[in-house]
Amino acid sequence: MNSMLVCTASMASQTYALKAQKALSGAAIPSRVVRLDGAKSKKGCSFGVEFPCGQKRNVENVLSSARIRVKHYYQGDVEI
Amino acid sequence: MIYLDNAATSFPKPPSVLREVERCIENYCGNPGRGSHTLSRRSAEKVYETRELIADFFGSSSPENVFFTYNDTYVLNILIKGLAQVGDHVIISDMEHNSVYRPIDALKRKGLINYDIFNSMCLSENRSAQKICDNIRALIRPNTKMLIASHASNICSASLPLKEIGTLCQAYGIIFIVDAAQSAGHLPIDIKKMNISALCAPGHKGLFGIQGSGFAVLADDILPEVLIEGGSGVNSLSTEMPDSPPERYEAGTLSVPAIVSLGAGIKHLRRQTVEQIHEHESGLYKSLLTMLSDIPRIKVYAPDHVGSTLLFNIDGIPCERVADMLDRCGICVRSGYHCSPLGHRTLGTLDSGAVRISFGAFNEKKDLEQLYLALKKISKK
Repeated sequence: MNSMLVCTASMASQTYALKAQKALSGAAIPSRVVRLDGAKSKKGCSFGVEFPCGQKRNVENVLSSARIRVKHYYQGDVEI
Repeated sequence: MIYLDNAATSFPKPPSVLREVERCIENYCGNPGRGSHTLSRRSAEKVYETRELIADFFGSSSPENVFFTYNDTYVLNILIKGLAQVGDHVIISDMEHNSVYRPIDALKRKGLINYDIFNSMCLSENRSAQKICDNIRALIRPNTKMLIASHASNICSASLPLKEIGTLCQAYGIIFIVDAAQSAGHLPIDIKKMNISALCAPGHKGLFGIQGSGFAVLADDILPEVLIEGGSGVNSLSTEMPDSPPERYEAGTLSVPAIVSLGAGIKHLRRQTVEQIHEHESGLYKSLLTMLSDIPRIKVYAPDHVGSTLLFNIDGIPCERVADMLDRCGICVRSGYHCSPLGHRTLGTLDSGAVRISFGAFNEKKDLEQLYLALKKISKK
């Protein structure tokens, strides 16, 4: 994924990130579980899923339907 | 060797369980939820897969509500001590294992809670779900916070009507905790249909995992206080544990080989239904009961409850001696009190203890025939 077009949804833990990845995969949205860097991880050690920014609306819908709480969405390092 | 101590731990394990443990240790046993490298990630994926298998097996749609500890006792302690508050009243059954009885009694001795024990009518000819629920209802107080009950006894084959008890608890707003140590993999359990607030079980008994894999399945609205704090892999700069399961209750490194063995065990179980396993074990029970009726000095306790566990004594021979003589014949059973003083008091064996035979899915009728011959010989001594 081109880094300019990559968005990240941050989650409570790797478990939720894995659940999110599975839900997105079921909706044919490509994603991968990542460990978040310092800028996105103010309390230290956080996980999330990366996905193409063009899919953000779909990602929001899928994760909401799967009752997966997203802490923040980022495009690059910028919270959106 | 004939193994008839499956209530303590199942033996043997399916070959697929052994293969998965080997694969784990050889190929992917990183520390899950910690690093971002390949082995940590693969390990986390396998742990998550096991959460999914457990959730699905017990009727939950929330794998994130499945958390792991080392055994069932740890899980029960986390739930009991994490949910009980000062002034609460708790109800437990008269067949509880010490994994429930001791933590509850300890809270009482500290002056924090009170508890009552309900009569599960194990020895009554008029036993019914309604009468058991009536017994429970009579003990409910305005401050009754939770009811904890073993689904199936660890000393005989009596089991409780979870659906009816769950409905009763829901009507009174009582948290319903089920200890499925002896029923997971032996009897059907659905946490939603049975209104169970939290299901606790070991992985190493009827689910065929190796030792070191206890777990709980929580309903969405159950969030016990944290009992054990430490590293969780998330929010490391915070002094507090995460606010949601499973990591909230998983301080320290998980036993990944044990957890993935449990996943493999559940996959093995899913080749048949739990009802089929119960039918197989019930068939063994009935056969053994018929055989034992031929031996005059044998007394079987609560014989009308058909299932995977049979408790007996031979008149005039201490239970420990019977178990020792069976061991010399190559037959593994367990004698004594089975960490269940409440159950033995209920069945009238508190003075003597008793011998427990517990079948598993791998036992066959020929095992029982060997047992019968050995017991016949022992009873003549």
